[in-house]
Amino acid sequence: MSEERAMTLSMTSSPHIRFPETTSRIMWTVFFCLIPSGIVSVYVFGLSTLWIIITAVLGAVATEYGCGLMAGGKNTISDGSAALTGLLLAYNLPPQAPLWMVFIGAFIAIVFSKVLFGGLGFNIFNPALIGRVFLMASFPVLMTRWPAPFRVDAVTAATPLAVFKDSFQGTNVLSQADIINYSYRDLFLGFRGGCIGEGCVAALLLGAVYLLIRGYISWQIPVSFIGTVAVFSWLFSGKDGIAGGDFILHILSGGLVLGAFYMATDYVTSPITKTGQLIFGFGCGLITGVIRLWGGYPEGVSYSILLMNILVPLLDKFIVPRRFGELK
Amino acid sequence: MNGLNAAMKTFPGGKHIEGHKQLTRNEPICAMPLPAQVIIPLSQHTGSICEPLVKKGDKVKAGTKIGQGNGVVSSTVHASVSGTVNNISDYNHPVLGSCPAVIIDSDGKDENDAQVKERSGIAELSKEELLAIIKDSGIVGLGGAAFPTQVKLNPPRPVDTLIINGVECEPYLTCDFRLMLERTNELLQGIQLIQKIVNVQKVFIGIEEDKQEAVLQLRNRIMEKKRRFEVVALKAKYPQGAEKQLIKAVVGREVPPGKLPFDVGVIVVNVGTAVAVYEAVCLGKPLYERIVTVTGRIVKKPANLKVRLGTRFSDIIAFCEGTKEPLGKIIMGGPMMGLAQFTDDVPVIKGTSGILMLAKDEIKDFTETPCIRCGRCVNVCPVRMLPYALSLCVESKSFEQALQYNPRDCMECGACAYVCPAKRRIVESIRLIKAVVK
Amino acid sequence: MNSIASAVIALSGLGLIFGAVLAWVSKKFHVFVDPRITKVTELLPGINCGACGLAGCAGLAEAVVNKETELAVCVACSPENKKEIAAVLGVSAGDMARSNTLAAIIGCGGGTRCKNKFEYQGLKDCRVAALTIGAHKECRYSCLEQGTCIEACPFGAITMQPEGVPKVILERCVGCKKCVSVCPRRIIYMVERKKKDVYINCQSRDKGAQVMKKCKVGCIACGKCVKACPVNAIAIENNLAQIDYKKCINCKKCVAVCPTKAIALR
Repeated sequence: MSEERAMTLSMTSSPHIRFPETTSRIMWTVFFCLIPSGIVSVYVFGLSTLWIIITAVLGAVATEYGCGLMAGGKNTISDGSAALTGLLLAYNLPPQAPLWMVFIGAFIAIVFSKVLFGGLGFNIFNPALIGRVFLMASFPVLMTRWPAPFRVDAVTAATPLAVFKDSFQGTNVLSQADIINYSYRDLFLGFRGGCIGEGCVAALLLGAVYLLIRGYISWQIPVSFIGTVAVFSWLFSGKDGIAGGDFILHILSGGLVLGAFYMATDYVTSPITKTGQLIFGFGCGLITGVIRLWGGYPEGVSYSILLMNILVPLLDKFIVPRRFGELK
Repeated sequence: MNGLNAAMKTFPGGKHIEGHKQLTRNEPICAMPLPAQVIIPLSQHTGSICEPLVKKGDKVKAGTKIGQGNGVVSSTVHASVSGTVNNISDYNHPVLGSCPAVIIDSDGKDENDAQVKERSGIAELSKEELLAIIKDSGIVGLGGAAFPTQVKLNPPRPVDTLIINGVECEPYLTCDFRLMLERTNELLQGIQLIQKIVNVQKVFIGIEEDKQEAVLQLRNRIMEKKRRFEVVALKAKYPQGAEKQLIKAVVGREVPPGKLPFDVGVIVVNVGTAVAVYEAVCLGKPLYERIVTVTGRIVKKPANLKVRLGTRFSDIIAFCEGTKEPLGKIIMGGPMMGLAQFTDDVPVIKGTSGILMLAKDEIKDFTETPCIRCGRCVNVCPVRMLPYALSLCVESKSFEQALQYNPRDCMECGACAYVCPAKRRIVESIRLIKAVVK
Repeated sequence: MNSIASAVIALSGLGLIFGAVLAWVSKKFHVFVDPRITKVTELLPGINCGACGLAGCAGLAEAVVNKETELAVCVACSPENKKEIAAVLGVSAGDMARSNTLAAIIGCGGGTRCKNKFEYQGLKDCRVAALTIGAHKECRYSCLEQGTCIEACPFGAITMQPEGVPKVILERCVGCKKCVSVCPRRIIYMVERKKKDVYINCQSRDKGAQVMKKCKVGCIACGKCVKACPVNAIAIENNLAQIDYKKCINCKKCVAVCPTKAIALR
């Protein structure tokens, strides 16, 4: 064997074959699974939502690119995680959010919850939710102006959860003009006030089913999350005390479906093990329920996920698989 | 399929991997013509290296003992062709890189050593006599690890179960499958001999469901011969052929960390080894040839070859008429745990189950990206480790911290790296940790 | 008025109770820390190199104060600081000030001048490279060039040379032997640092002819250095020249005669 030929043989270590799956493919698949919901919201709330989505995605990608340049020319935008963060952020904003605010949110999401922690894989909190929560704290009025479906420029209307809370807590501050009574069908199809991407449960489930089939997300988090919210709201949100609450309203309203299938399942910020994921989902559901019923906000999905994010390192430390061969 | 699916056993974790076995599964075992020269490394197995028993210029015949190891864990090596000892010197070795070897020029006559003759009165042989024959015949585990068989069959405490490993979970490889199909009777006789040695009642033969023909044929033949061996069809999943995983799949016992199968009363023997035991005991033939799967998409004539030990890879590749595309990688063994070779001028040894050739586009070097903690590695890990955590420990050079994740449990099956979407070098990382904390 | 009074009483009461509890706890669980340990810790280099075999510099400080070990085991501490530590402990400075006299030498000059079997493509760590079917170098005694010793050195005393092999910077080396322990090829060894500049830059026990095939700078056991040495300090054992530093007078004649430059200067 000649010297040159010997040098051309690859000597990389085993395993010599890899499953054809990459981080970027996973990220972009999730991205595309979210698109139907965006289309529905453009249909419901008008073209302004499209601009918000584009601004958020481009803002997040540009920020990531800029940070990469500053950190020594590492180009990390192709893995799709920044674009996905941008899209999820847009889906958590009201349909009339001003574009400058959207950009600030995307910037904060990428810089303060991802890059400063060391980039993809090292962040503790879900970046999109950090962006949203930052905007909620900074621009509370802009972040809670909800247009009524199909009448974007004319009328604002309370979200279904705000209506529920108003009556549940007995504050009764909403004027009758603000209240629209939505049917379950409206809620399921997304014909209601609320954030851009959270409305159309049907579209979100479509993508989620695909992700579940492909094995990109596991059932543990969404099922325990939504299940806990359902049980909790059935038990405590009824008019006559324990049980009998309208849990279907709670599942279909707010960002529960979006959060449970797309944000709580973010790999980086959720537990590794199946048991950990069940606990994580349960915790998210519990906190969501508590905030929705007795907290200061009508909606609690973002905060519940962020709060449970804190527990993830702990869950990963203590909930580990039983060592092979170790006694039970 | 009926009957196969009824109770499909397996182990938790692992992953079904595209097998590529169709390349060679219908190729009958074919004896390769004698090579002009063989290189027989004096280290072929776990344990002490053999001392050469011949010198330059000596005449040897196929089956002549040419190297003997000292110590408890040791074995013997034999000449695989008849001819003259050309030299005893360092030569390329597929596992060690380089190792002293006996180089023999074949005289083309292929004469057998006088010791190689059918043995009579096998039924009267005692356990000790059988073990001595196995040691003298240089039989080692043919699944890959090459542990001396006489040591394995003489455990320090009694066992109750014998499992014959016909799993062959490595993709591409089909040598065990063909062996089970074509040499069923010899296999069953070999199993019976081993059963006698280890003195057990329960004998299982574990085979994955994708080798249905072998399952059915073995079941039929066992019925005909009225043997009490049970063929267990297993769900096809990598790495089921690993001893501990196979034991878990077949009898549900878990071998504790750092322990060996006999600690849970089980001995696992590869099908190839069982046939070698038959040949050694009944035919008096030492282990000087084995079946090697030569395969890969780019190989012109993939085959299951019966090859003399010490045959150069280059001779074998030439016999299979080379490759259709330029070679990117030569691997000894399967694609999951096999070893990449830097040259084709390297001899077949007892642990060479396959020669896999990959084209350049099949081995494109994946760039490593950050761990996204997706948990795929944790889900597939057959020993339930946290591979991602170990790879992160290496990234941050915190080797002390890595100890808490039990790095020594890892058998480097590579399932974690196979599924990793970030293409991280998890197996290498764990290897490093094991080297650092040993 | 009443409410103010009750608030004051309640808070003072709580304060008293907590204070009492804290006082009791601090007495009950008091751990005496010798103030000298703190001082000695401050005077030690604080790089936790581990060369003393104790749990970092703090561990050593404790051991020194408790007279469980001698300060001489610390190779990194400067003589001045050792004197100060002696003063803290109230002992004579003599023994304390003794410093380590050894420095590491990387005994391979191969690198690009030693042939490769193949190009190593694995994890950048010598310990993994050594596991890749006997490593990528033709010579089985050679440096594996991945720089693991450089990373291991807590003092930045090892640098990579353009030839692809690392070299110890004598002035920075304190002799902690960290590099010796991480090198999978065991080619790093310790030599008196004082005035002895020559060293054998090869560890190959292969026969001369084999070495020549593999490496341009390996020791071929030709014996020229043995003849050139005026004080018989060099001997060839196992095909490799060895210097007896007790005899060596640092005349450097061996360096001049070595045909492969396998004897080098620090």
